Amino acid sequence: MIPELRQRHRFIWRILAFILPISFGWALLVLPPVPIQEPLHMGTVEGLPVLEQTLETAWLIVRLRAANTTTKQLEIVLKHPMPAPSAQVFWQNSFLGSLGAKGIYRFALDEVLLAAPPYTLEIRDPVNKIIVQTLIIHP
Amino acid sequence: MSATYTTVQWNRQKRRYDWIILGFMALYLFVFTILQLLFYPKVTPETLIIRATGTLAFFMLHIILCIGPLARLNARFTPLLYNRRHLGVTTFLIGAVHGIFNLVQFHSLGYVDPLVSLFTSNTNYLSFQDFPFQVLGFFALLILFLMAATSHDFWLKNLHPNVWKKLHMLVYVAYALLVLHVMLGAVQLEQSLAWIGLTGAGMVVVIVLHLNAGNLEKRQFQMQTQLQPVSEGFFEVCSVEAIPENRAKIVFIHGENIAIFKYAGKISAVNNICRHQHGPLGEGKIVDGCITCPWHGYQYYPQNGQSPPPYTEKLETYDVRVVNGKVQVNPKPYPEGTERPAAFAD
Repeated sequence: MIPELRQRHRFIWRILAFILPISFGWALLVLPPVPIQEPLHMGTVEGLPVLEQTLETAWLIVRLRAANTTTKQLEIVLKHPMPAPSAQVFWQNSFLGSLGAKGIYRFALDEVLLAAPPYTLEIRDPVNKIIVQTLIIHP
Repeated sequence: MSATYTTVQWNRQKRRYDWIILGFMALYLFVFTILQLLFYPKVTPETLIIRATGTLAFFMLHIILCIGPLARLNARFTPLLYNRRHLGVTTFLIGAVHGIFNLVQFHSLGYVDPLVSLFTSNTNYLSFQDFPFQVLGFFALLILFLMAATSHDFWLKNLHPNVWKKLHMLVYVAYALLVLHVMLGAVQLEQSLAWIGLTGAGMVVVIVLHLNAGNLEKRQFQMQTQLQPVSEGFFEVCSVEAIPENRAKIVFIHGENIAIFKYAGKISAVNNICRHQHGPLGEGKIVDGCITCPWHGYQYYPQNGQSPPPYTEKLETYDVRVVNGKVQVNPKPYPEGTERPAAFAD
């Protein structure tokens, strides 16, 4: 190598010998404590204050909650892991949402959904195309 | 020396090195695949390809970066330097497979253009921990692409040596980007001690080799510039035995960079800088009676510094003599291509 090139190489590697180990060490310092594997959760809304009705089966509790005559809420508590890998909630044949892990799920019910009692609640398994549970709710 | 941009010195030796590179790659991919299937039996073919090509390209880049300082520390590694170009192009190709598979696997299934997705799917550019590490790999691959593209003889002949060399020194930037790409990517996600250990060890080896080679050359340069004249403008350089047959001793006297070659019982001195890409002729050797540049194989006659016909490149020559078994050189240069009588080594 010609002297100018040698000098340039030396200069570059002195800089890299400083920067690279610092970056390497810094990257080790910021290692997360455990691998990041965060499951996605749907945000849970607050339950409405008035409990109107409760139904219970082997693996879920269904509650109908209300704030007034036109604003109601369907609350489903999954007591055990679902028998199906995923499940969908249908109210009067209208899709409300999905059920996944064990926990509390709440779905808003508007005037249209509350227009024609009694109400039919179905838990469907979309993968196997079966109805897992059917409940009739009389207000 | 090339009159056209056809490949320079594509010879049996280069073909042999190419086969060695291919054989090594095949062996690495085979062993890596077996180990992955053993430890991660559920690994998908796409993930396997991404991991295998990524690690292989990174490993090959380490080898490339080690060849330069190794050749400067020990002349036995010089043949590797001479064949480094094909290793570099192969490294880019392997890296490109890694990059393309990543782009397809992680950025091509949405409604956004994959390249746009690469830059916008993670915008934590101000965070060190969550920095979009794939962007670092993209820019490293871009540098490797530029290097691979301009390593062709057409660019070697048509780009100015300073431009070409500056462009190819970007490999150091690419290396730094790739170290961060690994440390902020695979290491953060998998926290594998093996990746941390191998990356750290590779980094230490590359840095130590380059610093050692640089420091050694600096000491040699300082010693050579302290040479004192003995008589009639001649400077005593070394004993005849100190120069291996068909090799050279490089000296710096009065700003002259001189390569003193010993060959066929004779000693001649020419300017050390190749007219092609400013390669160090004194780190090359005599092949078929010609000084052969270790970088790209350009050749010159040692007694007059001229390239063999039909080529026209010429070097400055110097007077050299042997007194009591010691080689002496006069640093006053003769015009390029001037024939000077060789000294007899014995």
